[in-house]
Amino acid sequence: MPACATIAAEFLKEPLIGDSKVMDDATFEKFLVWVDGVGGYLVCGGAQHQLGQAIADTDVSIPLRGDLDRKHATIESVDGNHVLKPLGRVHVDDRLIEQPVVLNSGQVFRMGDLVALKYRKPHPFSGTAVLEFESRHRTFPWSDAVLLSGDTIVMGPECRNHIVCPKWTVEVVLFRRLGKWYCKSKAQILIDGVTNASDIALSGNSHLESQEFSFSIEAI
Amino acid sequence: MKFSYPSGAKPLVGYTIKRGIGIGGFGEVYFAISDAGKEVALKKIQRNMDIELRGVRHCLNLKHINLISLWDIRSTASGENWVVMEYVPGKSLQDVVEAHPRGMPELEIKKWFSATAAGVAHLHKHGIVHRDLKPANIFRDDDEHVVKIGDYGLSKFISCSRRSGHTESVGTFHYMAPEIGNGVYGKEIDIYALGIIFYEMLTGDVPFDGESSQEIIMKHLTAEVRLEKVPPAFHRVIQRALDKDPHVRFRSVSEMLEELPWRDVKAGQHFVANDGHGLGEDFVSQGSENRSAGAVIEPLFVSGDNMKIVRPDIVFSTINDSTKTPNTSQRRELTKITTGHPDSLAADNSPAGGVSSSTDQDAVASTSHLSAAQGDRQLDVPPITSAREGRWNQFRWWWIDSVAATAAKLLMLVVASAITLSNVTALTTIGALTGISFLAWFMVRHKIVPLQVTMEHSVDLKATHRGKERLVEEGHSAPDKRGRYLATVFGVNAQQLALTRRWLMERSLRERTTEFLGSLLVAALSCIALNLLAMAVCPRVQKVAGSDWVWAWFAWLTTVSIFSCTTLLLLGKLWEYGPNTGQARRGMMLVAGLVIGIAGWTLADFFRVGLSADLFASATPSWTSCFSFAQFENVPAVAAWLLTLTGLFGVLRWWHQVDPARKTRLSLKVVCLCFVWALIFSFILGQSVTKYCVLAIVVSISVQLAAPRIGFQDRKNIYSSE
Repeated sequence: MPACATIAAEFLKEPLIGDSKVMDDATFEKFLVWVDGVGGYLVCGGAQHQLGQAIADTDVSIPLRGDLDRKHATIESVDGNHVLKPLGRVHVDDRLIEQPVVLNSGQVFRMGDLVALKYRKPHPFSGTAVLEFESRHRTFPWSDAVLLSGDTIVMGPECRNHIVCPKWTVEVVLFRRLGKWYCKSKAQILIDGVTNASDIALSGNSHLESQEFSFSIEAI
Repeated sequence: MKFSYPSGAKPLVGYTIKRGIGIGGFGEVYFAISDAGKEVALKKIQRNMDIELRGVRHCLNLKHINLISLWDIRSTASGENWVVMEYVPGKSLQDVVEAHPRGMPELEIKKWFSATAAGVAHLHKHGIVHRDLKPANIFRDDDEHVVKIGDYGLSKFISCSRRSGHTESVGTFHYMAPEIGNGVYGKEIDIYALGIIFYEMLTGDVPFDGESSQEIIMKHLTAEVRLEKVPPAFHRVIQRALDKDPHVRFRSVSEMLEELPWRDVKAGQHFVANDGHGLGEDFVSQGSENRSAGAVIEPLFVSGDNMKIVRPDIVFSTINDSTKTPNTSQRRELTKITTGHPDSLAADNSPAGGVSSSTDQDAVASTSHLSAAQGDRQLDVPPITSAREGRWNQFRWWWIDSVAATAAKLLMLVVASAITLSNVTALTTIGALTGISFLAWFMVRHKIVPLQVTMEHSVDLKATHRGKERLVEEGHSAPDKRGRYLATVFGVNAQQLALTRRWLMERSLRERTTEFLGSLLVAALSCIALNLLAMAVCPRVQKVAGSDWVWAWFAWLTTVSIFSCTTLLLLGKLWEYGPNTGQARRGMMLVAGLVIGIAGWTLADFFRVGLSADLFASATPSWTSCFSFAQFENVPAVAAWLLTLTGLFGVLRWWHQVDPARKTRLSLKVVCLCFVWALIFSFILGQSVTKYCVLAIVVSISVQLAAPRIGFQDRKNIYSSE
């Protein structure tokens, strides 16, 4: 079943209210996905994301190690789109912006002089967007890219996946229901050592593995 | 890829593992963060611990910008040994080479190769042979924009005689010098590997490839390197670097760099192979026998913003290798053997002044040769095919990619159709037999060939048991099924296809709509022209030419063809950036076939061209009547018509014919396949074959002509931009 169908099917399902297997630490908004052989990804939930310099005790949701203001910009999720609101100097496709703009997939926005990020919304059925680094900067804690998550994150070999894992042969969908994250795939996955665990909410330090891949969740 | 430790594990005190990076022959490598926040790579040494640790210890204090820094060796209470080293985020040279199937741009090659050479030269300067140089071990640090060589932890300290007494094979088959099999080798094996890497960067392919490890090794031992795909300016350097006799090879990296026509230093661009000792003059005035001084090997930086190559003020290393090169006569002999052009070498030994001026000319010539050669190069093809003659490859390339070839194919199809239509009765039986033969071939192709691959794989597994597991594990067995499939249908590998899809996805809706409307227009014109042609060449039609019935048939056939093309082009446009697999597409095509069938039937009624009759041929072979739906009471064979159309659209993967990433614009093979399947269906269902065949061929040709296709030159630009 293609990922879009999987996503649609997930939303049609009844929520798992009162599931006895749900773990206590299963509700988290921000986490890292460490994919073996691929990279690390910072996932930020919620409707509003602040970008700013990574300094001690910062409260921005996406701290970046670069020459930026403490709070340099915000990205807000509105009706499935992402609106970039400049707080400091921000260029979108080399044009200085002073008013909020709706980001289109493929657009590059530059904060300050150097920190450049590419906005990508690869999957038509998912509200999740990906911020990829165009410049030589990284987040703190370290990550290869930032995911502004909707309710689904698709990992797999295709370019339309949020996390592109070139050597995988199947797709894995992380989806959120009632604030908790779950995982579904055609592959047989061991979640923290438990097989066939698609109805178990992921914890803040879950490890998921199958015959061909493995990845871990690290809540922040 | 299975790792021993998950994220969050702390097998080594002071470091938390975040994720696995990769698994090499000598251990697993992890990305980890120290308690203080330092990002590092941790390598767990699993095999040959004593030898490895000795090698790594010797390298611990090596400092060079083009080498991945090794920081420490730590042992745990459980006896595990870990190497703490620099973490390099970024692509490997292997990723870059794979993204350029017909060779990398020359500027990229300069950046990668000169930096790699600088790193290798630094190792050699300290008496270390890398032994496992390959693109997968060379990285570009995305943070610093510096090329770095890794995995020299398994390097071996060279003994005083520069010959070690190893018996265990090291390195990787494709980059393995012939003498490694003897267990006696020196730093010439790195020169050989550099030669292979250079060849691969220039052409996109390794010089010695094969279906099995044994074939590759045999080629390293016996086959001469083929230089058709290499620009002439680089022939000599490739030939000498890849010589079977290590004594004839370059004695040092600096000597190898001297042979490259990259000594030009223009404003804003400095290349590492800079001649800091007036080499050119020495070479000219004293002849090649006295060509003793080494080139200055400098580390390479690439500035982040404008990607220009800049040279730092500080020179980190210098090599002054006093090894003599073979004299002129020896080298001339070499050239005679391998290329038959000794004069090209003699020209370089011309009197003073000749070289300094010819150096620039060489540089210019090399650039032009490079671009010309890149234009002519074939795409990434299976190894045995690539070993064929260059002329055949050139023709093949022209056949796949050129517009003129599309016209030629069209002409061939028209002639073939004319012959077929004018001899329908005789050729129908021949066509049926061909169809059956094709089915038999198809079964053999898809059932027997995978078995052979499995057998080859088992051969490689046997090699594993003979102590060569690392070499086999690193992916040099026969290409997998999906790889062959992608090469056949798209002429590219999975990564290149993904880049093309990504590019397609990022186009605007307006752009795609415009393209779709343009395709519709072309398809409609093509359908009209091809159907007219079919009518014109069919003898039976000519007998009743001019009647309203003929024009009604033409109108019906054209309308159905255009409707089919529209459906296919629309679906193709919707699917153009999606994955190319899945039964969902086939299901959709079945539905599309049914819809087209219903529309065709309705239109037949509208145009009053009863489907039980046929303009083109009068009878169906009687022996098919046992399967027939059509014979009952001479009613319109609606069920048969619908089944035929549904089957025709459901069986064939029509989306390949409209895919912008397809290998060639008009594929004769695909058109023939459509013809054969139309033949098979109409026979099985007892229909008169011609109208189905005409419809299938017209639709197939029209959609292929109309659907946009990204040429290989454009794809190269896409890969470059990524």
